[in-house]
Amino acid sequence: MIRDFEYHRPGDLAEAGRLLGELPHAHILAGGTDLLVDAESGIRDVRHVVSLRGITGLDGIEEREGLVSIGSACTAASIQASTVLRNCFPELVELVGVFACPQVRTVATAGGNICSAVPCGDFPALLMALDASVELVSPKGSRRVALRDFFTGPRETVRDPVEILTRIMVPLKAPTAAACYMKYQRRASNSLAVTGVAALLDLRDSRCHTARIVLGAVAPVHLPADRAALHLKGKEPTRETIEEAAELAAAAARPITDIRGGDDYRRQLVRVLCRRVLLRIVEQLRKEAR
Amino acid sequence: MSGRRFVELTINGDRHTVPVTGTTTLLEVLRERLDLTGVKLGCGAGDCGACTVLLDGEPANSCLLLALEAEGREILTIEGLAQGGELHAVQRAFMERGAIQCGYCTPAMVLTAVALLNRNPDPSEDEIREALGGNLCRCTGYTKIVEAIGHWRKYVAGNTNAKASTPEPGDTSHAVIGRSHPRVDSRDKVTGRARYADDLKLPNMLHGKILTSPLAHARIVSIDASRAAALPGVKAVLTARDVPGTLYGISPARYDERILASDKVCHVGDEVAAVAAVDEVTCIRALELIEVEYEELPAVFDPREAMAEGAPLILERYPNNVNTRVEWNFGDVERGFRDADLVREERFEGNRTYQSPMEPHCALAEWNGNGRLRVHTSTQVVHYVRYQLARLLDMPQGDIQVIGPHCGGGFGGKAGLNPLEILSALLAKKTGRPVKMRYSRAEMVHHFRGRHKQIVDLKIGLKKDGSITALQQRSVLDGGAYSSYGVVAVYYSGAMMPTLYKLPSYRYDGFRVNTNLPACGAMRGHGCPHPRFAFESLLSDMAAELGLDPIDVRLKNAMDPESRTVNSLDVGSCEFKACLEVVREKSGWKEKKGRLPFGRGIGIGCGGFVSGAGYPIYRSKFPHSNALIKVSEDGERVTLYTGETDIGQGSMTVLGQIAAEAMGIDFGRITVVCADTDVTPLGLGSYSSRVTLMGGNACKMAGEDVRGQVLRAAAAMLETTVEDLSVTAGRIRVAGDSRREVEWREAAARSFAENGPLVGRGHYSPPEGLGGDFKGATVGTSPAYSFTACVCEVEVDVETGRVRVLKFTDAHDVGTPINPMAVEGQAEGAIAMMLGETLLEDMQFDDRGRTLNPNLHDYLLPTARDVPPIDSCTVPSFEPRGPFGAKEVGEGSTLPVIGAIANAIEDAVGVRIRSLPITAEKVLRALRVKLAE
Repeated sequence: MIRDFEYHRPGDLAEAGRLLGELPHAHILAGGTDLLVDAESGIRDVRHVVSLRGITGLDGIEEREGLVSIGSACTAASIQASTVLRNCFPELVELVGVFACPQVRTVATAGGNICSAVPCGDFPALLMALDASVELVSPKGSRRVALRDFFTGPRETVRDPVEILTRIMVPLKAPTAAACYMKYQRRASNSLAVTGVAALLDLRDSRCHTARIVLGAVAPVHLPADRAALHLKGKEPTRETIEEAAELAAAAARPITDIRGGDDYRRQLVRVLCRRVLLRIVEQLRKEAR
Repeated sequence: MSGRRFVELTINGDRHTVPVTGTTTLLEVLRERLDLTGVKLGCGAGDCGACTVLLDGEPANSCLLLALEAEGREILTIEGLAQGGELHAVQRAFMERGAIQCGYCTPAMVLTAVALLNRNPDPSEDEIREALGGNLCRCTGYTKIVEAIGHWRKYVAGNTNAKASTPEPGDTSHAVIGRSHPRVDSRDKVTGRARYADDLKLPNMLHGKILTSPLAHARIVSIDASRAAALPGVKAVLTARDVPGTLYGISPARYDERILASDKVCHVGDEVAAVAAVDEVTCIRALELIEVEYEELPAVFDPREAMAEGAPLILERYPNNVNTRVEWNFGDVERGFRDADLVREERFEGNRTYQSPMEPHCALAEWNGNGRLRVHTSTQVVHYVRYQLARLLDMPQGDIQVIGPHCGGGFGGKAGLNPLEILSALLAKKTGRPVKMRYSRAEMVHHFRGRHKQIVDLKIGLKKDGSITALQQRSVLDGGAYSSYGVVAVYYSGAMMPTLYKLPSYRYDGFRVNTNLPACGAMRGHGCPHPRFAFESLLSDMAAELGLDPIDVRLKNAMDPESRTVNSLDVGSCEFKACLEVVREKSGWKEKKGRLPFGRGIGIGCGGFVSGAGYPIYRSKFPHSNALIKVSEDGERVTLYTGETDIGQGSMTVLGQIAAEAMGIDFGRITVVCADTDVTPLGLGSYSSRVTLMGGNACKMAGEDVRGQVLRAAAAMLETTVEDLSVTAGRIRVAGDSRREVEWREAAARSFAENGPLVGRGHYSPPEGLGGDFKGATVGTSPAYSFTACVCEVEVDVETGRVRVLKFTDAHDVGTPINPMAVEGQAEGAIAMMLGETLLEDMQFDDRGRTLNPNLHDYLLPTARDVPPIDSCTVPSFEPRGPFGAKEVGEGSTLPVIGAIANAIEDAVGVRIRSLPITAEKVLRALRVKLAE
């Protein structure tokens, strides 16, 4: 296939929304590292691209009113370099270290990684575990959608084609909480997750006050492993409890077999990664508590 | 079509206003509009990093960045890095440290390193490897790249310690060889100046593309290309009826490929039609307009199924799809097994792997006014391409000029005529204009010619003391649709087994079977890695069963120098035992073997290869390698002409060193010209590890020819005899009289003045009569054999099965290393490539023969972070048949690796994986089975 599209660079969100509404097969262009590959492979029918580069205000990272707002056009590299995130969400900064490679991090955006909605995406897993939500803006107005309600299938989301994801809002964690993302990739750098697991635990008086676990690449969408999380709630995260939760997470997974791994293997990876993620969080929180 | 507009870009500090469309990428602007061809196109999908530029100081893939999106940002390409001719320290470090081989990844690699160092001037090794995660290199194994970046400060301009960092050998008997000279082409490669085929443009040039079959096996009912021909911008369309019907291939006995399919297609990707048009996009649109009606035929994808009764027949001439059958029986195998104390037989399964050179194939053809054809092509074998073009076009070879520009890696994948070369010539002829054709990553994979997957049934007999009594091997090779180099592969699969260990008896049954998959060909280590993996694995298991140390068992059976193998191959120099001893010592084997905790393991593997095939692919009366040397009339500059191709392995440098040594001049005075059939004399090319020995011998002889003439002139000038003269580093002295001397250049000038052009000639053919007199006895013959041993340490994650290789320690008998740094580079690159083949790489297909991973994000090559530290060395050795005692390294060094890793995994967790690649999933499955038992 050849890429064959018109390029548009609106100056503001209203114009962007209007273009997206008027033009057939129009796609939002953020970093482009997915879109340009998809346009060439034919996975997406791309006739028009609407660039976000002319729109100001989409690349800020700021903390206010109990949450951190990450502009959707923030690149992975800018997330990695952000002091706000280093302070508030070091796990997001750490995630960038396993996300793609430096060349991609320079241009790829968190918003793009979310809107591409591939189940093996790295950012969505952790952001869901952090209970993030996204702001969608269209000519009709704006709305806020919890990330866990955002994905409807592989490459499918609740976002209307005219809506633009403008920012990601991540509520600040309690000082007693920590999160972590681990992925299993077939080689050491720059490859997609065969399975990814993100989790957040809030430990109060040695017990799980809050727990969230999200699985990547083992279902048509990023999958909250709610039963596994619920199992931890109110309990002390002993090795045994964690093993049980990991087992429940593995049971929740609905993996397929593809070129990157078999379904059984992915289920096993959920089990292992889930345990490792939880143990690491517990260890970190205990260290901080000391 | 996208509308045109102008974009203003800041590139290397200059502002450029360039017309673009919405889809134009920054890569296209840089390469095609601004001729900044140091930026390379490797995959077009952001997977390889060869197109890296710095965007506001940070690395980005220019193939995935629209030009319009780059507006307002500072773009730096390799061409903008050196300031006023002064190289950046990283560039110098890459040159001096041997971090450059084919050079295709180099500009991008350097820029990525510069971005890292700007942020973090003192990165740890792990930080360097992490930063290089998006830059693939297929040649170097990353070792020297990581070293160069780590030591960049030593190469800052004005730092005088730079040169001292490359250790020189203790051997001082030679002035030029045995020294780690930076490559002669490294400055061009590190500045982006080195031009590869796709960097070339000709006035009035067209582009060409090939329509290939979407089906694995089908009869062509009809082809209608009229709509394509009518598309504006299309200048020519070719189908089978427009091209010669002559069959071609590699081995004359098995020419079975057509330029374009006439009646049927035999694999997805088989060539059906070709177009030439004003640009590539128009070509692609034209291909979509060609209507081909197919009648699908039953297809077969597994070689065992293909050779069974009733399987669909792919090519009429090969009954049961058995393309080549080998039956060898040396010594008394039955008795050998009867005499053995332990006999075991196991099945091993290899994988279909692809060379994946960083540079995609590309050819550019033009016809001149006198009816001569000139083809620039990315190839390992300019003379062979010329030979086949002449056959197909029915022209004298002398009317065709084939030029190999810089080649961005081959590894066997560019060792024959490819469709781009012949079709660009035919399209150029039809249109009367130059035509350039290049493969995309997916098209490379459909053309393939990668490694044959082998299913190896191996049976070994051992005495209690570990001595081998018998070996029996049955190999079934998946050949894909056509023969290519496969005849050789199936012979090599057996022929090379007896060179390493003394085998009293050996039986080999080989079947090379056609399937409806892309054709396999010659890939580094040609035919040998899978049976070698099988042997090294089974030998280690049997040693364990007998309670013997695996290295002891290998030493017990190791080949001796001056031996004749059971299959009548003559081994000359052989320091295999020394290799084993060295790796045992350096790896800490005795402290580690059997003593590492569960999950950690150490393993040994061995290998060896020919230093060039004893017989050429096609019968020819000419010497295999030839060299010419021309000295300028002032005697200052010497030019060496060699037909061998530098595909990144460094042959220009190595051959230049050999010639300079033979002449008695400094290396700095030699210029090497290679791979141009009009200019350089016949050389069979860069395959079968032949260049150092064969090309080297030819260059040495040419050098000695020049030296003789110069010495005769000097003798006259010094009023003495030639016998009394000695020459080193460009000075000729009379023995015993240090005051009587003359500069080499003065004597050379005198020779020219008196006798006309000072020219040296050299040639080399392997000794006659190599090998036995049985069928196929010529395969495996060689003037000399390399030997190598490799110890590997791994860590296995017992919960995920993930294997992390921690270290390689390897030792090689390569004879005299002509350029130790280049030898190390070959070994490191071979190890990294085979690490990939062992753990990651596997071409996969769906049930209709379509490749599932024709790209570099699902077919994974090792990154810098996957490759561990590699401690490579050579052992003292001298090969009398080699130039100054040298033999090969490039392929032999691949062979121990799979076995070493497999054995280390077995040592770590007690499971034996007998199929490749050894994925984490397989390890985990085997571990679970083991735990259940």
